[in-house]
Parts: sequence; C-alpha cells; structure tokens
Amino acid sequence: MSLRIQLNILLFIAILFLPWWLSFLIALSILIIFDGYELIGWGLFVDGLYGNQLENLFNLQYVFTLSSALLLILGFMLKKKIIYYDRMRV
Amino acid sequence: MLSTESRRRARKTNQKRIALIGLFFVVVLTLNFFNINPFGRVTEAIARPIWGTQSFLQEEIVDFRNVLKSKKALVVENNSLRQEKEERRHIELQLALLEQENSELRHLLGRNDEVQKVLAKVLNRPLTSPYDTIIIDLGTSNGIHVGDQVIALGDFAIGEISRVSPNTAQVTLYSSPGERSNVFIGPERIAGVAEGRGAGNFRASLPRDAELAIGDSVVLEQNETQVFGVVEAISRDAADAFQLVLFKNPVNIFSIRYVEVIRSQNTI
Repeated sequence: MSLRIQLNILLFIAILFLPWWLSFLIALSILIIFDGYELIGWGLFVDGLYGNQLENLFNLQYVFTLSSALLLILGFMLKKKIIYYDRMRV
Repeated sequence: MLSTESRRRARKTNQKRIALIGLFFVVVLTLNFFNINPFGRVTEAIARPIWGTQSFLQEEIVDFRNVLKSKKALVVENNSLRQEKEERRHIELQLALLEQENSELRHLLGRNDEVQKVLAKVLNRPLTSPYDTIIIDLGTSNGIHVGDQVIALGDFAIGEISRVSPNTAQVTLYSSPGERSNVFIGPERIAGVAEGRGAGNFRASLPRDAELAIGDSVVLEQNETQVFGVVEAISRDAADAFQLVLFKNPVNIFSIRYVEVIRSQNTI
C-alpha cells in the first residue's frame, strides 16, 4: 500500500477518534510530502461532521475546509520557492 | 534545471490551481453565510456505525477486565461500595423529602414541571471534536429538536442541541468558546453572563462589591434547579470596578459517556 493511502487511512482514523490537533499534524505531513488535494475533502468531512458556528471563530462552520484550501495555496506557492521540491520535479 | 518554457507552464498551472481553490472559497463562504451543511448527513452516515462499534467494544473490554479482577480485590471493592451506598441512602431519603415538598409547593403555585428526558449515548466528545461539541446517538427519529437542553449526571446543564439529523444530534456545550449564557452566581444569586472558554470552563465579570467565594454554585437563569458550574477562582483588582469569576462545570466532558436530553420544558 502506498504511503499516501496509508497516511489518508491514518487521517480518517484520527478524525474519528484522536484529538483534532493530531489530525491536523497528519494532514500537514500529507501536504508536505504530496500535493495534498485530498485535504479539501478531509476538511469538508471534518466540518460536515463537527462543524458549528462559534462566535470566537467568526461564526465560521467551515474552518477546516477553508484552512485546508488556504494551506494548499500556501503549499503551491512555497513549494515553488523551495529548492528541494524544484529538484524533485526534474 | 528546468527550461524557461516548462517554468512558464508550471506557473500557469499553479495560477489555475489557485484560481480554482479561490472559487471553492467563494462557494464555501456562501454555504456558511446561509448556514447550509449539505455534507452533514453523509459524514454522519459514515461515522455513526464506526463510533457505535467503538462504543460497543469499549463496554466489552471493561466487562472483560472486571472478569479478570481477583476475588480479594472484588471483596474489598464490594465492602467499600456497600458502605458508600448506606451513606448515600440517608442523603437520598432527605433529598426525596425535599423534592416532594418542592414539587407540592410548585403545584400549589400552579407551576407545571413535567419534563421528558431521554437517555443518549455520547458518540464523540472534545478533544476529537475541534469545535467543542458532543455528538449523541439520538436524532429527529427520537423526537429531538434543535434547542433542546442537554444535561448530564442527573442535573448538570451542559449544553443545547445545535444540529440534528435522523439518528444523531450535535450538542453545543455552554462552555464552547464564545457561547454566552445568563446565570445566577453564589448564594445571593447575582446575575451575570457566563462566557464559555472551552472544555467546561467559563468566565464572568461581576461588580467588585458582589460577595462571592470559591465553591459557590452557579445556576442557569432559565432553570435554577440545574447546577451549571462551581466557582474555582476569583480575581480582584483594586483599580478595577469589576471582579473576574472563573468557574467550571462539575461534569468532566472528556470522559462523559451518557447524557439526557430534555425534550420539552414546561416551566412558567
């Protein structure tokens, strides 16, 4: 089984049973190692399951979906600038 | 090294990706604005059977552990529990008398306190839930509605139903960050607003002159018979006209397994 699938299975288990910050760390590692498009789907999954409009979070119930989209954009931009990813493309 | 052409192509692809995600942002923000959660039912349909299995397995493991306990340990535990039961029986008798008197007085005053409570199993709780919410195994098929109050361990108010599907419901805890509830604090029933700080913790700002002590109880304005919290710390500053009261719900929400949902509350 590829590392990507293993990490995604781990993320699914983490979302259902482990503290949310552990899920966040696994998601971050997927983003660092791979493109991480699936993170948007996982963000939707978390918000669909737990989403709630909280005043302290600007009444946003899609915090994780929006954060994952933002992280993806940041990932695209940063990976372009980092030599390590530049070498991987060659 | 990448050629100029391939770099240009990569830049274009990246721009397309960013534009697509930007469009996605707009769609999600629109859903949020209209408070629509179209993925709720699908995600709950996936998660509910898994949580149900986990809960079942947990109970089985606890039963199995009890089977493995030594006889001596069981005898010691049994004796201690018997003693505790005897002590509690006296308190229960006194409570029953007081409850009866209270109910008779309310009846004389024409107040109808009939409430319908339903027991629910907790499927998920903080810290797994990042929004400081609880998910229970009851839904619209059990007569649960948005706004129904949720209590734990008898009479401790912990939250309200904020989202409901046919077989599950989401409980927003009163202690969720930013949640505000009207409360009465201390023996003098000083009115205040409890602001949730997450994980069963609250804060309230009261006039400095209000006499309060650590251990004072806090009750909800809408139902003074349900304990809402216990004062844990008070911070006073000579230069400030207010004192900061920190209190905590006595229920440990990280280990809670069952709650009760009050389907209707008919108090005057």
